[in-house]
Amino acid sequence: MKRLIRLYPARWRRRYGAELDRLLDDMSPMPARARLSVALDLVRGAWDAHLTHSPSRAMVGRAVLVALVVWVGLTAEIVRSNVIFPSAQDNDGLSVLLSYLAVFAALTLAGALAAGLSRDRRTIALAGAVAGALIGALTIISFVVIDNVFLDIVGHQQVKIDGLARSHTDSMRAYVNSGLAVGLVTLTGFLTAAGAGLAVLGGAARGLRRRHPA
Amino acid sequence: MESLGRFAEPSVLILTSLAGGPKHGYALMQDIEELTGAKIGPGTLYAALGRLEQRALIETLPPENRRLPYRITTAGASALRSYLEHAQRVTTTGLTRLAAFA
Repeated sequence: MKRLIRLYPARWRRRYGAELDRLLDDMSPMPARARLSVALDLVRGAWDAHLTHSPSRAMVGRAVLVALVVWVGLTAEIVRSNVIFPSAQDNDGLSVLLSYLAVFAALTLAGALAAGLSRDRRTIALAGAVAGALIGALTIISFVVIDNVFLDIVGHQQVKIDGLARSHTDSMRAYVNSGLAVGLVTLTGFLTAAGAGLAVLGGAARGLRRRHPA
Repeated sequence: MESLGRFAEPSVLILTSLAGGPKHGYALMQDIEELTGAKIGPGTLYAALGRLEQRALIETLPPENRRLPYRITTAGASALRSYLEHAQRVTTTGLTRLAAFA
């Protein structure tokens, strides 16, 4: 039964853990039915403590904010390079590289911001993973909207024409959308993992700066 | 009390129990069970205690053998009084109307 105390966040346990431990001693021995009811109550209590005593919600909130800012920037760049200044050539390599670097920097920043609220590495990684997943999913959604609305412009890109010719698809819209469906899974998965890792790095960098201020 | 959400009822019971004198967690559970016949689980108890402490409606006393006694504060007593007075008005009105109804 006492093992359930571990479900509570560390900060909560530091304040109430010993008391709760003693209380469970006082309540023992308990009949099996009461044990189940107490166990369920402790699980609910731990869930509540995570929502109210843990800074993880605020950390994820900051990460979501970073992700939304990045998504707006990426969407603006997608519109610029695909609709406003479209090119039939596949010459957006630099733009894509810079976009990825910006995303990686943002994910690292999300970790550094999260570390301002807690040093718990798992929560920092969670914040980064949420930011990465959001950036990946929202960016693909932007592509879905832009590619479908401006298909007559986007469909003139040589890389897409060549891709359609190699595929077994007979329409540019179906080809673009099937590629985006794959992209939704791969980009979101990749950025989720990258987000977790980079956020931990960002959090560690903030921790180092705290220990060795300039 | 309304801001305590689903912990409002256990919080009222805790404050009522503490109005009778300082108590630690287990003594609170026993007193509440005696008072209402209902058992309050340890997870619910500490979720409510945390909220009451955060709102300065209760405070802790020095620990006794790993047990931390809590006592009601002046703000807690005032919040409980105003809640119970309101509940009493509702109860009195409800019972009067029920008497007329019957």
